[in-house]
Amino acid sequence: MFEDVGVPNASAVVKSVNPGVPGSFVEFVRAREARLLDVAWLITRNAEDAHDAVQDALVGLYARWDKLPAGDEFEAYAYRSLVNACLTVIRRRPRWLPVAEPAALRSAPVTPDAAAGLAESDEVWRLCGELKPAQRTAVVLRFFADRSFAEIAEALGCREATARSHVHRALAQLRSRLEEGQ
Amino acid sequence: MDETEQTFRDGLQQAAANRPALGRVDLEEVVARSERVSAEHEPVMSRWRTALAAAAAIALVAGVGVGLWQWRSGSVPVPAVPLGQPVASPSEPAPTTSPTTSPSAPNEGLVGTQWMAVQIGAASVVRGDGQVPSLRFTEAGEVLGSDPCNSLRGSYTADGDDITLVGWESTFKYCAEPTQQQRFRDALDATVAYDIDNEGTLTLIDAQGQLALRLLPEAKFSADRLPTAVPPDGSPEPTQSPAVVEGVEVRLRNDSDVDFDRYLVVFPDGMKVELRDLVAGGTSGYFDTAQAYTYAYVQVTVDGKKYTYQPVDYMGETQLKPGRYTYALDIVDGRLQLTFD
Repeated sequence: MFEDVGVPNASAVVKSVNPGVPGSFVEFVRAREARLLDVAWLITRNAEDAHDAVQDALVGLYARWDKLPAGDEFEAYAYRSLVNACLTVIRRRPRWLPVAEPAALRSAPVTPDAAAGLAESDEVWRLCGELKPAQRTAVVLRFFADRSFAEIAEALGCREATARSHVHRALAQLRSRLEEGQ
Repeated sequence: MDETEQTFRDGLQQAAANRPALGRVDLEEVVARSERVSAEHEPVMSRWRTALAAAAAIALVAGVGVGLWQWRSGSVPVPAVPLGQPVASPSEPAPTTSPTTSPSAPNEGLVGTQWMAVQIGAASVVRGDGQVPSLRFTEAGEVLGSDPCNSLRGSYTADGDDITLVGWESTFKYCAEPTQQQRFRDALDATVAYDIDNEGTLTLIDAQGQLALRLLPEAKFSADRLPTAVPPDGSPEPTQSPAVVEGVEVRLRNDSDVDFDRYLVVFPDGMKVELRDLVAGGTSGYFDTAQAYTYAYVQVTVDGKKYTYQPVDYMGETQLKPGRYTYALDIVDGRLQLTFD
């Protein structure tokens, strides 16, 4: 049904997203899927779940494509769809953490030159794994997707103060750990 | 920018850069599923359009709302009577802009019943001077209820087992039980899903998959079974104030001189956590659980050998209060020992 349209300039597509035009959905997906998968991966921390969450979110977006708002409202809606999908996947999966997963999720092998930097990024990854899903989502949206606290609150369906609290508590935890490690 | 913030940014970028290949989005599947969901929801939509028209007419005639206080003014602006889109998927958020749509199907078990709260988060509802918190979901998409002191009104959208509760308003009377009132309202704000089990108990669930509220149908409810406002004490004090930690959170500490290759914890509520690598002297992250005591089933693996701490039962034990606790593990004379810390 769809031909591969390549990967157009992502920012240009975002600005020109026209939910009323069916073809623009394909452009949107191809331009943004890597980013969507990144965000879903950071929130769910599981490859299969991340892929499922993105697919689920896109099912909803496609169904409403001709009625969605454009511009910033579209961005907010898209993020909210993705966050809902991620949290739904997390909520529905068994509360049994797979033992095989952590090894596969490790960062790249540590090289002597990059050892210090990678140690810190490992600490970020470990800390994110210990955060509750909503708090982890807030952190990912803030520091990876560069969303404002208002946008994070909308995506999570919580108060802005709660979104700020999620992020600030995570920052405090990371700061404490890095200080302990020094 | 704060140095820690930059560390977060760098760490997340690094993690994303190292994520495994996830494959491309399957556009064919997206479209097929979308169309399938559309077809499944079409008959329900028709019924709801009729119901909505009736509800709107009733609301106009009734003209209610005098003296109400909106406690969640920052929430997502969803109309009092929820308006959905023609197609619903499990992940899509409630619409915020379209004026021409209808809500998703209501759950018949949910609607019409007077639900009485018996548990908020990890704690029982306590019986005090005020009324027992309750909820009733109407076919028109309203939620009517009460906390210990005030009447409430909000709106909801239900889609499968997902539910969104928004637009809460309340009367504004003095409350002698502000803690329970606030916890009840926080639980409503946190709710994203619900479940009705075979015995007819309604559970509202938050985004972390934790129990936010448990409610019984009025016919099965007895206020006499609720604990009194001053609960019996005697359970261990948490290491962190319940005001900071909402539920029970437990972590493990490896007090032995060997590294645990794997460790498994099974809490009394059935929650299982299995992870690997807890070095000697190391501490795990906290696991939140609905129910915990001063011990639990724990199994650790060291060099392929399993060591198990097997509780006989939890009879007579006092459930831990909300807070953070540590199970300290050690291997002594070839046996795993657990000490509550």
